[in-house]
Amino acid sequence: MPSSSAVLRFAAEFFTFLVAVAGAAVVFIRPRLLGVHIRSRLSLGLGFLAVAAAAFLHGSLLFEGDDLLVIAVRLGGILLLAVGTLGWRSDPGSPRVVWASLVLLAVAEVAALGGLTGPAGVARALGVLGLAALLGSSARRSIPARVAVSTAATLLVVVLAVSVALSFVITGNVERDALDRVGARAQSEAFEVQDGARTAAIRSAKLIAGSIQGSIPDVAQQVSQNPGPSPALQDAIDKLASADLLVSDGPVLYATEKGALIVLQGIDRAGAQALVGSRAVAAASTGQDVSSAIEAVGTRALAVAAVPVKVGAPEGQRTVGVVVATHAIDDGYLARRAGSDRDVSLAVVDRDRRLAAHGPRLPEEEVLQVGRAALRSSSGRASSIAGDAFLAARVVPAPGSTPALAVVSSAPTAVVDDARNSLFRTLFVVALLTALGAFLAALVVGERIGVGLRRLTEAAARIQEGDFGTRVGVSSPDELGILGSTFDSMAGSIQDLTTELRQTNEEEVRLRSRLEAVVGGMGEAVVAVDAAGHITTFNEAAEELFGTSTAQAEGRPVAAVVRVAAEDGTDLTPRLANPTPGRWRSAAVAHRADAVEVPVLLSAGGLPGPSGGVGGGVYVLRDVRPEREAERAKADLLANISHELRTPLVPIKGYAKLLRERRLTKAKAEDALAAIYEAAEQLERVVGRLLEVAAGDRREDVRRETVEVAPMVESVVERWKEREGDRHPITRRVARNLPTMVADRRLLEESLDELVDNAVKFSPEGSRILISARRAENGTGPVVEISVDDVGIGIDEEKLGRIFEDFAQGDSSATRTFGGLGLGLSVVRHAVAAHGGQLVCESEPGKGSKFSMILPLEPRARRDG
Amino acid sequence: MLCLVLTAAWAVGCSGGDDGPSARLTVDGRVSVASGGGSFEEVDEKRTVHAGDRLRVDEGSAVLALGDERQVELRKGSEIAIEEGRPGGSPVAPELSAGDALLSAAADPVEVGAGDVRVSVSGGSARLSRSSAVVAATYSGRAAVSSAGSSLEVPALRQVSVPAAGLLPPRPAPLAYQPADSWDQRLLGDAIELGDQLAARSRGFTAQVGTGQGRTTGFYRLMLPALETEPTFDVAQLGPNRDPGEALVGLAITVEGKRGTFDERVRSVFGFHDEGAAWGLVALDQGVTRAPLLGAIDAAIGRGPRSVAEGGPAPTPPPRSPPPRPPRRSPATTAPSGPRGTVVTGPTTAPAQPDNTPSGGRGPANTGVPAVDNTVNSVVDLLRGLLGGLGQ
Repeated sequence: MPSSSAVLRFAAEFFTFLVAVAGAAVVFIRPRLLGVHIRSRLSLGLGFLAVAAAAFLHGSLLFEGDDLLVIAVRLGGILLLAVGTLGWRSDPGSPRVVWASLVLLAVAEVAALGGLTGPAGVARALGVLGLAALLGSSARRSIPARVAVSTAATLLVVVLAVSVALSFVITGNVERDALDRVGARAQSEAFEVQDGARTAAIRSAKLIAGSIQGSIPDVAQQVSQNPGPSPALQDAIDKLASADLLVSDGPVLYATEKGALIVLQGIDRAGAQALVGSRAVAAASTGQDVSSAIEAVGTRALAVAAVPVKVGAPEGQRTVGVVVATHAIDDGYLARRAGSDRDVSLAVVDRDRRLAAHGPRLPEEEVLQVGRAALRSSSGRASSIAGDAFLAARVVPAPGSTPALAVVSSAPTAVVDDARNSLFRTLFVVALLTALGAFLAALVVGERIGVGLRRLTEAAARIQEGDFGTRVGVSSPDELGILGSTFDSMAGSIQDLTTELRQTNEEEVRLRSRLEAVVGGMGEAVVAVDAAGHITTFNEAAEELFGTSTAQAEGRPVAAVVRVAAEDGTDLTPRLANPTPGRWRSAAVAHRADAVEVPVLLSAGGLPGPSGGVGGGVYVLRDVRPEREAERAKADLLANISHELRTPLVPIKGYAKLLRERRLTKAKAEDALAAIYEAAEQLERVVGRLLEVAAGDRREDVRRETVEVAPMVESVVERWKEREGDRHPITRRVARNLPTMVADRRLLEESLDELVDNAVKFSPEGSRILISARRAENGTGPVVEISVDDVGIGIDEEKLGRIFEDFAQGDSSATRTFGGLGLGLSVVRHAVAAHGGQLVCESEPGKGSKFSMILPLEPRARRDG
Repeated sequence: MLCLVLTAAWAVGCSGGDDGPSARLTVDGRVSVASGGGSFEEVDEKRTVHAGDRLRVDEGSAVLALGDERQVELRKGSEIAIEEGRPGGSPVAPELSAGDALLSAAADPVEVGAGDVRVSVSGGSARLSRSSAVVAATYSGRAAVSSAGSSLEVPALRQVSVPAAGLLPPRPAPLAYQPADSWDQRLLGDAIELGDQLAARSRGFTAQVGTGQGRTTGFYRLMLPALETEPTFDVAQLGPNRDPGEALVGLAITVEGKRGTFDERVRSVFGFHDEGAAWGLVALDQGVTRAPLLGAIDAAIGRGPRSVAEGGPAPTPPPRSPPPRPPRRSPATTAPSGPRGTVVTGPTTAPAQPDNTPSGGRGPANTGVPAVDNTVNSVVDLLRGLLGGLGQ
C-alpha cells in the first residue's frame, strides 16, 4: 500500500473511530441531546460501537484493505444504526441526516465489495462527516456538551495533526531507509558492472589477443597490411569460445589497428562500428595495453575491453590489430546478479531506453526517469517511489568521462509494509488512547461546568415559577462561582423588589379600588379623557347622565359620546376633547342621548402627562336638577308659609282693629275674639308644624306609652266625621285583636290626622275615605299597619318618590289649590320614622292613593322613612 | 494573519533587515565567509551575506540566492566578494575573485563581475571561470560579456575567453566542456554522452569505408534517404577531405534538425563542428533529440558498405585530412535553398555519381561482389537522380 494511502487510511479510520465512539457515548449517556427515544438507544449505541470496532480493526492495520470481516462489521453497524433510526422520532431533522449518512456508508461498503476502493473511501468519509455534523449539531443543546465537543474537536484535530505528521515522518524514515537500501544495491551493481563485467571482458580480450599473438601473429600482420576476411583469426577466436575459455559472453571483434573490422561476432554492423570507434578501441589501437569502458551500443549495454595485438620483437613491437571483447550486461547478467532474491528488480538504462532488466516488471518510463535523473545529476544518484516500488539509480562510474549507463534497482514497497504497519498500529492505538483520554477529560470538564450550569438553570426556572427564595449555592473560585453568587445576589434583589412591588401593587389595587369605588359611587358624573380626547373613565353617574354605558363610552372620542353646552348655548364639547392644563368651571347643559337636557355644573381639570405636557383631562358634571327643585320647593314653601301665616293674621288683624275701635257689640266682640282665637290657634298649628318639621327625625320627645290602635282610630274617625260631615264619608276597618302598641299616641293621632287631611284635600267631595288598621309581619317582626285610603286625584309615579320630602307636594300648584304648607306627609314621615316604622304610599293617578304607616309594636331604633 | 507574518518575515529575510543589501547563502560542504574585511570564518548550512562580505568555498558547493530566481553557484576553489548591486538589478553584485561560478537566472538577468569582465546571464545558465583568463561559457539562455567598453553576446553552447581587459574575441567559440566536470555533466551530460556516441560511430564508420567511398552525393542519399528530398544537397557542401563518418553524422544531424532551411542547417552544423564543437553540442544546438538521431545513424550504417568482416571491400583509410576548415560557400556549386518540392533555379550541381552503393537501404540487393555492386549502384544512382529531377 502506498504510504500516502496508509496515512490517509490512518487519518480516516482514526476520525471514524472517534466519531463513532462519541456517537455511542452521546446515545448512552446523553440521549436527550440527540432526541433519541429510549427504544432506539440500544440499536443506535450498538451500531456506533460496531462502526467504531470496524474503524479500529481497519485503522490499526489488523486487517489489510477492505477485508470481508471489516465490511461485515461495518454493515452490521450500519444496519443497527438504521434500525435505531427507524424509532427516532423526536427531532425531525436528525434522522434525515442519519439516513443520508447511513446511505453513504452503505454505498461505501457496496463499493468496497465491488473493489472500488476510491469511491468507497469518499462515500465513507462523507457518511462519517454527516454523523460528525449531527453530533456537533446536537451539542448546541447543552453548554457542557458544546464545551466537550469543542474541546474534543480541538484535541482531535491536534492529535490527528500530530499523528498524521508522525505518520509522515515515520513513513518518510521507513521509505528513506528502504530507498537507501535499494540505492545501496544499485550502487553495488553499478560497481559490479564497472568492475566485474569489465574485468571479465578484459580477461577475454587478453586471452584472445595473447592467443593470436602466440599462434598466428603473421596472419594478424598480414591482415593489418591488407585488410580482408581472415578465417584463421575467426578460427582462433572460435576455438577459444568453443573451449569455454572466454569468461565474457558478449560480442567479440577483431579489427586492424586502423579500425577495419576483420572478425565480427554477435553484433550487428552498426553496433560493431560504434564499438570499433569507441574510445577504448581507439586507445588500444594506439598501443595502450588494455583499455576498457562500459558502453551502450544500440540497445545493448556492454562492458568493453580492447587489447592490442602486437607483433615483432619486444623492443620493437608494432600494433597490428585490436581484440575487442565484451561482456553483455543483459537480462541474463542481471538475473545472475539478482540470484534468488525475488523481491529485487534490476535494470540497466542509458539515457534513452532500458537496456536490460530482471525481476518483477516495472513501468519502463518510471525506470527510465529515475535512471536519467541519476545520469544527469552531479551526484550520479537518484531515487523515487513509483507505484508499489522503490526505485534507486546509480550511474556506472566512467572515470574521466560522462557516465553512459545507470543501474536501477527496485524493491516493492511491500517490503517496508510490515515495519510501517507495526509503527502505524502502535501510533494508531496511542493516538486513539490519547484522543479517548482527551475526550473523557473534555467530558469531565464539561460535566463540572455543566453541574453548575444545571443548578443555575434549575434555579432560574424556579425563580421563573415565582420561587424567589431559591438560591444556586455554587461556591467555586472560578467564573461559575462568581456567576452563582451574582445570581444569588440578583435573586435576593429580585425577591426584595418583588415583595416591594407586590406591596406597592396591593396598595395601588386598594387605592384603585377605592378610587374606582369613589368615582363609581360619586353622584357626579366623572369623565376622564387622554391627551387625544379619548374617554378613559366613565363612571356610573356619567352613564346615567348621558344615557350611555361605560363599555360603549370608554376608548371612544369624548365628542362622540358627550355633548355639553354652556348655558348661553356655546358648545363645550370641543373643549372637552382638547384637555388643557388648569381648571375651569362652567354651568352647562348636558344633552343626553334621549334628547333630554340636564343642567349640570361642569368642573374640568387637566392631567399632567409623563413629559410635563397635558396627559388628559378630568370632567366632573354634577346634576343640579335636585338643587333647582329644592330651590323651587323652598320658594313654594315660603310662599305657602307666607300664605298660611297671613291667612290667620287677616282675621286677627281685622277683628283686632274692630275691637280696638270698639265698634262691635259684645256678641260680635265675642265672635271676633273667638275668630281671633281660632286664627291664633291656626297660626299656632302652622308654627307648630314648622317646628316639627324643623325637628324632623332628630326629635327625642317621642313618648313611650301603651296605645290601643282601635280607640285611637275611632277617635280620629269621629273627629273627622264631625268636621267633614257629608262632604267625605269616612269609614273605618280595624282588625280584631290588634295588639297593644307602645308609642306616642299624640304623634300617631296627628300623623293619622295629616293623612286623613291629605285624603280630604285631594279627594273630590262625596268620595269615600277609609281608615283601616291591621296586624302584619315584615322582616323584623309583627307590625301594625294603619292606612288611609282615598279615591282622589292620585300621584304621578314620577312624583311619588318626592312626596315625603319636606315642603313637597305632588304638585306645587296643589298647595295653592288644596291649601296647606305641604309639610303634612313630611311630618308623618318623621313621626313614623321616630317610631322605627315605615310610611308607604301606593297611588294611581286619577284613582286614588293609599298611605300606610307600618309601625312596630314598640318603637325601634330610628330609621329612615 | 499567519500568512502576513510569514510574508513579512520572508520580506525581512530577503532584504536583510538593517544590514543593507543581502543574499541568501546555502552551503553544501565547507564555506568560509569574511565579513567587513575580517578574516574568513566557516559558516553553517544557511546564512545571509551582505555587501562587503567575501566567500570562499573550501569543500563542496554553495548557492548564493539573489532573489527573483537568480542564483550563483560556487564550488571548491571559488571565491567571490559581495558588492552592492546596481539600482534595478539584484541587491548585491557578486565579484568572482577566483575559481568558477555557475550563474543561473530566469527572466531577470544575474550579473557577476570577474576583474574587468562583467557577465550577465538571462533565461538560462552560464559558467564563469577566472584563472589566467576569464572564460564565460553559456549552457543555456543568453549571456552578455563586457570588458573595458567592449561587449559580446554569447549564445547557448558557446563561450568567450577574455585574456585581458577589453580583449574580446570577434565571436564566441563553441563551448569547451570537460566530461568529468560536474557542472558540465549536469547541464550537458546528454550532449556529452551523445557526442561520445556520435564520435564512436563516426570513427567506426570511417574505418570501414573503402578507398574513394563516401565522396558522392548519391552515397549519402542512399544512406540517409531523407536527403533525396533535398535537391540542393551537394557533397561539396560538406567541405573537402571530410571523413565519411563525420559527413554521415553531420548530415544525419542536418536531416533531423528543423531550424532553418537545409542549406542553413548544413552550414550551421558543419560550421559549428568545424569550429570545434563536439557532435553532441552540434546536435543540441540544432535541437535534435538523441534517440532519433542515433537511430537514424545506426540505420544509415546498416545501409552502408559492408565491413571486411562481412565480406565487404577492404577499407583504405583516407589520408589524414588537414584540420577542418569552415566550408566556403560557392555560388557555382550551391544553389539557394528553396522550399522543399519546388524547382530550384540557378546553377546547380548535377547529382554526383556515387562511387559505390551501400548495402541495404533502398538500393538493389547487395551481391557481395564490390565491382558488380559499384556498377549497379552507379546506374541506379544515375537513374534515381534523373527521375528525381523530372519528377520534381
